[in-house]
Amino acid sequence: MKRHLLAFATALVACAAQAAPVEITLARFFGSCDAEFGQQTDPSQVSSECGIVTVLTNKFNAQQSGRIHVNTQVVEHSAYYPQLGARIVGGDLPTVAIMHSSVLGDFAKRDLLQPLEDGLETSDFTPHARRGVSFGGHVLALPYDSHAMLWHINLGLMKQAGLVDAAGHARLPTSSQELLNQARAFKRATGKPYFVWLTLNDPSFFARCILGLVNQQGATLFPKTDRAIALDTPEVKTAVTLMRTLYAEGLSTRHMDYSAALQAFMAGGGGVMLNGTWLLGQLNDRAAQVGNPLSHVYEAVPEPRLYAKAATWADSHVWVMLRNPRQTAAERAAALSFLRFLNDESLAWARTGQLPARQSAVDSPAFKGLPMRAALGPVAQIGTGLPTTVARQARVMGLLGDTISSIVVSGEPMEATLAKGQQRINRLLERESRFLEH
Amino acid sequence: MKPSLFDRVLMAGAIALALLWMLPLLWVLALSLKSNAVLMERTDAIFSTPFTLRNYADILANSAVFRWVLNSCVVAGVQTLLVLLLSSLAGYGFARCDFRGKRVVFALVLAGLAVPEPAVVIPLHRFFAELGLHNSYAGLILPRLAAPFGVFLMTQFFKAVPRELEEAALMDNASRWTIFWRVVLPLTLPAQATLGIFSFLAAWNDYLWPLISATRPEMYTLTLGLASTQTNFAQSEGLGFLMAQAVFAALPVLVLYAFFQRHIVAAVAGGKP
Repeated sequence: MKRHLLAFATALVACAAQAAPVEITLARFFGSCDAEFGQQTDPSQVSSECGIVTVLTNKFNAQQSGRIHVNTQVVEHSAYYPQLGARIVGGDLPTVAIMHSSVLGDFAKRDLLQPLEDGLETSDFTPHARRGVSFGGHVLALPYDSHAMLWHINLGLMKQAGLVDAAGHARLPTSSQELLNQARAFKRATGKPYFVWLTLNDPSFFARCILGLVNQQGATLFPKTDRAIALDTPEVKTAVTLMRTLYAEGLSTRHMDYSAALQAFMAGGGGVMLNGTWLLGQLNDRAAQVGNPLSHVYEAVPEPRLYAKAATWADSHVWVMLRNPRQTAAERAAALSFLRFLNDESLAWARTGQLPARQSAVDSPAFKGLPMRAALGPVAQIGTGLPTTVARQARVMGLLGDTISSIVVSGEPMEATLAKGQQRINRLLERESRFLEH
Repeated sequence: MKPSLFDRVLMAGAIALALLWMLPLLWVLALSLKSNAVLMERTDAIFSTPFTLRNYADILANSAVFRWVLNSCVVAGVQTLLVLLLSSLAGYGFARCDFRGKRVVFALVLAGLAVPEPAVVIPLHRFFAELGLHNSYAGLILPRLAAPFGVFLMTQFFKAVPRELEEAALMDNASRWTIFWRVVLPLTLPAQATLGIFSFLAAWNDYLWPLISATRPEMYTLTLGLASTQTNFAQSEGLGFLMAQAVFAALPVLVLYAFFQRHIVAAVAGGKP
């Protein structure tokens, strides 16, 4: 009788265990599109960021049915980090969370992240992705992509200006002077500005441009220490002068925010739009349709090399596991299993337009077979950002962008404005440093 | 009597200003009736057909949206009632009752008006985390019940009620509670309506506190839930959907306004409904 009872109890426990998969939470942005893709498990049928991450989560849940279940907690992009900060303070921690590699340093310095090198295969990360997630000898996140600034080009207008090579690709400038010459020729031929710029409400645009141009000159914005930016260097002034000249001569659009710039480019309002990899899919779809200014005349390339070396601003989406004293071994194992799944599905995410964080994926025929991607491989090598140890990078980039925008758009004097911007940023970094020391 | 020229000019000016005020709202409504793909190319497409209800259908296709509406109704409704009750009681106490330290306590309440929300939000969040109240209605409602403006408004209103009315009731052996409930409180209806409107709108549109207190989608309020569905570049890639969300979120408030229009106008104008 006892034996039967024991067997019955064991069966009950086994059933209970079967009925209760390990629940983990996934905090992310990218929007929520369960209504559209709630039942979908095939990522090849989707191309938007929201769609693919939703479908991948569905696929994982389906594969792990009964063992692991991922509960997604979506927060709007601009409110994501304030909420995550509050959740950390309140001890209400998601098991897995998305971040940008540019903010990772702030979390790493506060020792809030779990090292992942024991649970993940890290040797396949691209150089840019690896730089973004490595801190103090540890890998603190799974890099999910690299997203960078691209030149989105209207080949129709470029052809009109005689700036297309024999193969039908845009003839890209190889120096700052050649860029100015091409831009002037473009304007003379088409009557339109060469560049479509995001000059309103988007300080990060200017910060990203300057970062790339300074790095192309072999310099860095933080030459001495990660606590002091240097905006009074010849390289910064060279880059700012170039942008100021382009703007002053009407070689770029004016008074446009993100949406207006995108609309202008799609309407054929300029030759080259500087914007992110994330627009690749949409613009490519647009170009595939007939009867619009981009029809079959669109291409995207990495920022061309104007100075000594190739470089472009890049950031990454990364997945992290926050330190959580209440986390069980089963939850950690489940979370790592989910991260490994996402890593394996790197190519699916690349369909959004973002570049894979795995070198094998970048080099794969499947990736190169996607529209425009073959030309974008170098971004994984030349992508650059602020040094990972620089604190408060989002704020630093905002202040940097405001400074450059003041000079380029508002015509403020360069020397004084750069000095003021440098002072503001360094004061911020000093405060942050004092805070961390205490 | 025929209206004078001055009256006509005044009326024309008022109509012009009203139209000017309505223009952004009409713009939002028009954008919400266009497809995202069209708006990504040009926003002036609102001046031509076709229009679509697809954005609204997309909102309603999310099964969670009705839960979010319910959450917002519960949170805003209960919060408004409790704010009215507590502010009225506190206001009456400050206006009519004498107790030790009254002036200091009242000054402390007023000081609450000067404290910006971000300054207290983290300690408040920790406090509620320790109480285990996040992701609950209590967690969404309780922090907003401390309403210094409400207490101040009701105090001033109670002070304006003639004492003779209460003295007459006292002569009839009415208790303090009866005087408050039966005599004085009904006289403060305009102030209650004003405070009620402000409290309801503040609760309905609240974003910061629900954002950090409700992390489970089933506890999202409408503002939070709708925002969570926005993609990263919604302002360019999903403009129609974004505007439809704005209209959808405003609908319950508009319905409420339609029902209580008479009271609201009277409350704001300081007259009787």
